[in-house]
Amino acid sequence: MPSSSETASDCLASILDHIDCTELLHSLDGGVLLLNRRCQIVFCNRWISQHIGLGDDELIGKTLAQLYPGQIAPALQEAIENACLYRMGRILSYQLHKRLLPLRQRTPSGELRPLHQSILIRPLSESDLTLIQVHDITNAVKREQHLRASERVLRLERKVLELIATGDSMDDVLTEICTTIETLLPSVHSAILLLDEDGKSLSVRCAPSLPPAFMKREKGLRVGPGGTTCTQSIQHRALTITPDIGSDELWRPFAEEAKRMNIAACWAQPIVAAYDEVLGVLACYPECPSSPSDADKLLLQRMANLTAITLERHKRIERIRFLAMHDPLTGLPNRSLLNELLGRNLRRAHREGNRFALMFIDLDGFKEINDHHGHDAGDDLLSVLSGRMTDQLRGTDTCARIGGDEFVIMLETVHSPESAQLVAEKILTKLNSPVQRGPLCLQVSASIGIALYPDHGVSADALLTHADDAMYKAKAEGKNCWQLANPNGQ
Amino acid sequence: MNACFKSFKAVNMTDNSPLNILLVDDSRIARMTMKHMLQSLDMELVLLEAGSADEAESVLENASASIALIDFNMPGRNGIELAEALKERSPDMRMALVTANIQDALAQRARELGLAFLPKPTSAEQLEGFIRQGE
Amino acid sequence: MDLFSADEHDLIVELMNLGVGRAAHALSQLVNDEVLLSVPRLEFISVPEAQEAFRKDLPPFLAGVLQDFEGFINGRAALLFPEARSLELVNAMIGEELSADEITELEQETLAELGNILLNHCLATLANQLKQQVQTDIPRAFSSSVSELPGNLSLYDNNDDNTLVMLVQIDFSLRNSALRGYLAFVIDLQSADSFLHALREYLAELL
Repeated sequence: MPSSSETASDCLASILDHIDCTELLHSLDGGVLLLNRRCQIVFCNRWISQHIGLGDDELIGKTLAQLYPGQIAPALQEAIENACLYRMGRILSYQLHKRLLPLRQRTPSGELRPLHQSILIRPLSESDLTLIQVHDITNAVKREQHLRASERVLRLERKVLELIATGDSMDDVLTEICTTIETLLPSVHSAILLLDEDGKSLSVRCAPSLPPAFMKREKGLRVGPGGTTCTQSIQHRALTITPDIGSDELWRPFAEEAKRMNIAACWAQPIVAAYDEVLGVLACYPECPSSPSDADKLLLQRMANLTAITLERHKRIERIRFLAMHDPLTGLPNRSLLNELLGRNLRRAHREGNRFALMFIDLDGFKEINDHHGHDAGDDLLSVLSGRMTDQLRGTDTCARIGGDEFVIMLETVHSPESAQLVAEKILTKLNSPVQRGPLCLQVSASIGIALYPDHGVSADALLTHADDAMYKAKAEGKNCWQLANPNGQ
Repeated sequence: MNACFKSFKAVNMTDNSPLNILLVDDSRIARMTMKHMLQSLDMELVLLEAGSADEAESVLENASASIALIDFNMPGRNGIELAEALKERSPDMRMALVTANIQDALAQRARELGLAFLPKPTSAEQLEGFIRQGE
Repeated sequence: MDLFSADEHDLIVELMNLGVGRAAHALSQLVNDEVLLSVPRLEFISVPEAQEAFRKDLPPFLAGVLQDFEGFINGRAALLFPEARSLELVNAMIGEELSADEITELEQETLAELGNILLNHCLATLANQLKQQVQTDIPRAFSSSVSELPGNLSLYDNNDDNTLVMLVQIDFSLRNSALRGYLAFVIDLQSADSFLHALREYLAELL
């Protein structure tokens, strides 16, 4: 009794007997050729005639070498001969043989494109014939290119994220982002331009492959009408493309310069942070006129996002650093920043032989304001008075809040004790002028102790102590006045 | 070098003394194959055999050879290394690298050392051609 | 297995070296760089013994290429190496620096061609030198765990009594990649006689 598998195969055999195999081969989506021992075509399916562009009658009896004189890859020719004559089966893969048969296919848009292919050559046992199968692997090639490209982006993104995570300097990370783009888009230069604080102009922060002249030109690009690609992208908040700088009206003033720098187009992707805040522009400058492909656009978007993350993180770190060093109420430097600045100024004064002044300021009657009008009123008063004090100082001087109503002013350099006294006078006036708060009129005064370097001490501790002592002396003298330190007196 | 071989040939012709050839190959079968081919030639040859570079050097302690046919891929020192050593001790010896490694890179290295390059499997004609080059 | 005498064994090793030498030449032409191939060891064993050897020498997952042959000997040839390194080899062949995490269709084909070139050259050299003929089928790439390997190698469904494995260790070196793999020729024992006969004829001519 036959086993069930035998019955099944008998059944299949009888079905196959009744099928027209030729029709089957013609319906395949791939090329099929049968060659005899002399490498001549004895059969080819419809796919082959379509892609070669010749009819059956023109193909049968010919060898591929006769059909394409001098155009058959030597490896293919050898493989065909080895199969037809010596019966060796063979695969010819796309990756190792980029061009096998000169086959072309028409794309949906009507152009003729070379057909990516791999070829299997199989000597048929029990006959002299050799079967050649041509596979159209265009789609597999596309998939593979896609895969490789996206893997490269991922790898580079990971690298950039690692740099961000390990706290590398912002400029290093931005450089890495530009380099990444330039690796993935050959013959494209890239740059990162940041919007200035006021949001009105752009300046180049990073452009690793562009000449220094570029950095200069893009310094302070005004955002406004008539701007070029980058400034437009800020206004539109969208990728802005100038495919050919040479034929762009707005670029005309810079056309010569662009030519010198070997840049022919500009693609500008705005860098947008959380809450839609535009931070700057990620700019690409291709060496030839061109527009980005969809994949390029995606890449720019992703790189702009990474840039945004980098910039935001940098901002956040700066903010944390600021908070650690400043008084949250008045925004003035706190005691630790004062110590740092004082130390720095001491070294500098010592080095350069300068004189500088330290003023210890304590408000008179501040506690009463707090008690009578509440802490909010006291806080407002402190804010206003700090503003008034800083207004009296040069940019290089420091006013720090070191306690509830205690401030220290450091005048970076003074020529004589008199000039410090002059500043103290002005400060006194500013501090005892009334402050209007709604219907209330708040008024305090201040007592100031002044210590000079090197006259009254050469260390931070000594100077602060002497200034503090002088301030107490001013309080004892009736407040609303200043006193110069007198370390040897008493 | 040519002059030297011319004089050698003269001696060879007048004395009709046989030519000493050293075969170096780790495979006994490969040596046998080569011997078989050399013996088929119409030449008077004395064949010396060695299965490694070390053995080749000790064979040459007691005998001299004017030609060496050397396999490349052998355990221990390879054919190129042996050829370098032989070149030191007998600069006049003519050598050929006989190897299954038929790549251009190796052929190039062999030529740089002044070795002939005979791809395996060699034919009797190729061997004869190389041997008679010295005449 | 003492089917072959020392001289016969030596002859097969020599012929294998010729075969891989030619394969290396063909591959080096293809990739435009030097390819080193050598055969450090050859032995005749059974399928289970071969599996044991793989288990000892190779990681649990293998990639490879299979190709059937028939002629003066019949059977199935395989090229096997660690799956994790097969991608490295393909990348070295096509000159890509970055290797993908997973093998793609195209890489499978490249791997198949690599095995194809190697196995064809070994079989053709064996046949030509012994003045015999052999025909090969098309190659196919596969990956498998060592334990599933006999299923891929067996000529007859799980009946290995009639087969003999000629197991050849092979060392590859290409660009910065170097790895060890195996060539396994699973030979139908019924054809082993004609193999033996051909070897003896060759040797008889030498002696």
